[in-house]
Amino acid sequence: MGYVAVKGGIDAIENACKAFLFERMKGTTAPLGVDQIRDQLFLLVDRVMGEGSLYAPDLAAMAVKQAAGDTLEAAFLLRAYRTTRPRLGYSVAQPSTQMRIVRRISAAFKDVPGGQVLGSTNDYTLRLLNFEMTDSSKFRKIKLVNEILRSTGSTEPLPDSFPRVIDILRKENLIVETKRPARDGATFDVTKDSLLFPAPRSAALQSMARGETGGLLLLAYSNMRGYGNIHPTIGELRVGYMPLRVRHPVSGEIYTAGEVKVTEAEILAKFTEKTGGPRFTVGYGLCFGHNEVKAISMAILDRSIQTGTAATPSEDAEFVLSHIDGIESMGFCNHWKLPHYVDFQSDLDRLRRAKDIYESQRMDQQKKR
Amino acid sequence: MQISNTDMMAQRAFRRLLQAMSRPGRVYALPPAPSTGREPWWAMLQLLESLLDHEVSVAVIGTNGSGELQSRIAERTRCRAADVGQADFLIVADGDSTGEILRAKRGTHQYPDTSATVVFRVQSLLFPEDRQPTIALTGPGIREEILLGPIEGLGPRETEHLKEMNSDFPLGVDAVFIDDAGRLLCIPRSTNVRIMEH
Amino acid sequence: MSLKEWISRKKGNGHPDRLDYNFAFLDEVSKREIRRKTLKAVAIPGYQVPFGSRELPVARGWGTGGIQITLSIILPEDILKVIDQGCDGSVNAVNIKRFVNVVTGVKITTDTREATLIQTRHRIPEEPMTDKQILVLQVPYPEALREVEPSEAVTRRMHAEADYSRMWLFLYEDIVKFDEITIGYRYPVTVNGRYIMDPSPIPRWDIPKLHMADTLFLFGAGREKRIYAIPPHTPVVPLEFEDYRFRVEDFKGRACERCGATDTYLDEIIDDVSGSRLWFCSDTGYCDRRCPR
Repeated sequence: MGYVAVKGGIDAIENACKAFLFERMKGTTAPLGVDQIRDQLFLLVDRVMGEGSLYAPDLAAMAVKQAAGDTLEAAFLLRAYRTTRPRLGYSVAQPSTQMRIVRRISAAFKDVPGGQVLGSTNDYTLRLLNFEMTDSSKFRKIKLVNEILRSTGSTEPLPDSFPRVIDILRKENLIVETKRPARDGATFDVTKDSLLFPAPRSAALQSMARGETGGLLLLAYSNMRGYGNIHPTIGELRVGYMPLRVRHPVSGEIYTAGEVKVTEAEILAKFTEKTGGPRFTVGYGLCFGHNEVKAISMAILDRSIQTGTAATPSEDAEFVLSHIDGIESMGFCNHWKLPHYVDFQSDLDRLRRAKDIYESQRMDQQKKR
Repeated sequence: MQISNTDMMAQRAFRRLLQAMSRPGRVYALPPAPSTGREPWWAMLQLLESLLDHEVSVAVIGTNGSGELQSRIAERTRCRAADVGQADFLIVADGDSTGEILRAKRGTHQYPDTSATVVFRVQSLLFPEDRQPTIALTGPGIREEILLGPIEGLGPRETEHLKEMNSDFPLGVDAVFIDDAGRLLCIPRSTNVRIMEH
Repeated sequence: MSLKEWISRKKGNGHPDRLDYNFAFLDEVSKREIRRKTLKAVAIPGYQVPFGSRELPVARGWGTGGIQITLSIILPEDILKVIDQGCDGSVNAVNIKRFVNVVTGVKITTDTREATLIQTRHRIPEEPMTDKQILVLQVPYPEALREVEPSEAVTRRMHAEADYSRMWLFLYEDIVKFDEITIGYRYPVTVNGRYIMDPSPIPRWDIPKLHMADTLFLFGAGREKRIYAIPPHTPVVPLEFEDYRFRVEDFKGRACERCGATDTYLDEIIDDVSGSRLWFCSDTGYCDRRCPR
């Protein structure tokens, strides 16, 4: 066999990249339009924007196409792109009462001021695989849309305001107040500073907002099932568009640059007697796009990592925050595929020597008999 | 690819500074600035541009023209001003802090890196052969021992102050010395400084 | 502007569809952050400095820490060598050097003596490096104490108090079980008599090269967000007991099949057909030089 040709490595790598491209483009199906992905796989796009930490639906759709649907890879593409964009500054913080609501529910009360607005959701559908989906003709699409519009009666306009359920409870003095940070309003920026423990709440929330949906769900689920005791009730879940308000760099005036679709969850957790009498504690979750599982999981974890005693993984802030970034975890998982033969050689050396010692000790023992 | 001249100068300046900090007591030269409109502290500014911006804070100590230097630093780097006790970077504009550097932050045992860096602007880092050295340096980055000094334009007690600041390793400050000709020398906290008797 | 317009603008100016980027890719704010932290790392040998690690087009776990250091110090006149497991042609090394070359235009070499800046994964080159060169090492696990303690908050405190008793206990327990210390690569060392440091997954073979060297060693962990350094002429001593000394890998006098060297770290290759073992220099640049053309 002789010496392994390592110099041909460059060709092999380039061919591997080409093969991946080919895999996506071979066959007779029509190329996917980025607009199709953006419009029709909108929940996938929303998830990728959240994990990629960049609000850009068209780019997220592009990333989904380029990554052949791999959400971790698509989020990574967005993150890498994000890093090349100049940082102009920070937007002005807004209360979420500014949200232009498209969906809003509360599980804490049967009805709430503003009403339970179900919006668009597949929560109530029967999960029966619909074989009519194989018909992708434009004709069918138009027919279905028209049917929906025709069969939907006239709707009342949405109320002007949706008072927050938490605020209602707060007025009755039933909610623990969060301590405001001591610093002059400057929040932590996880994209610029390394996360150190104990981490400020803003850093924890930022990390989770960019976190991988499955990872967050896993940890929150463990808490719900009993590895923890948050016992959450969804005080409010909102999906809608938040205005993006920025300060003009010269005049200093605040203006609205656009709007960003977000999902926000506030959960009410077990009450505590620690702070001036029994009150509910609150967990908060917020992420880009429409991703309810992520926002709810985030809210549960926000609360659980503030428990104080890290008795279970979901209550251990360092454990949660160190392991929820999808780009980091995926990168490291994949890195095991890189050559490790030099290190393995070192281990082999140790193992062989340990075996020699073991064998010689065994023989010594046998001689003694 | 865009290469701005300022950015390239900053990259070059930092490379020299890195060499200087990893080999304490040795003199390195910053790449020369364009000769037109050279202000007296061009070297200091070039060095600071490679490190300072709005994410860190600076305090300028000294009387001799330090007001102008301070505004030049703010202009070029957008670095925020802070008190000597909080600043990430202390600039001793005329080589003598009159003991002010003793107030600089020295970091914590868990995060010793959060300490200040002190930059002394001195008159000259040339050491004529006939002068007796005043300090002996040993430690990481130094093969055996380096004899230095006197550093012209450095306040008479500054070395003593540095020694005191750095007496509880890993706490301490890291010192950079720079003259107006662009010569550079570093004494990090890991260096053992022996003040020589005469 | 719609996406379509943006794309057509990019294609219009005759360049391939590629982004405009700063010299060495990173923006200046990022570079300054990395530079400041690197300076502190050099001033406190062996101590891990937290830094705001940026995302790159290369995946986490694939060298982003090393790359960030390289990009923050590299100059157009540098000559760059990048190796992985000692090999210039390895997957990881090729990807990285292509990326750095595209964003800086620097010359690339496979000759250790010619390089001014070397970035490496898991090996130190066989030829001793000089004071004109810098070695940047890629680090997956910056924390030597992680073997005995999973929590960062706790290991920070251990380093602060120089409380390394649990590490020594770990080594002792190994000896009790196996009659020798079984750590292969990532062998813990004490730097400048103070910090216990993880030298990255280099083999034990390469540990002595760190001690009182002529060159500066910079260590970058991108995913874990830490930078640390060993300046030249710094004592770096592997942890050992008087009666259980540190030892390097034993190649039992074997020689490289290709160049005949008996004093280099060797890769063990399994012959497909006979199943027998062949041994070759891990440092391919060094091996190339020794072979007659």
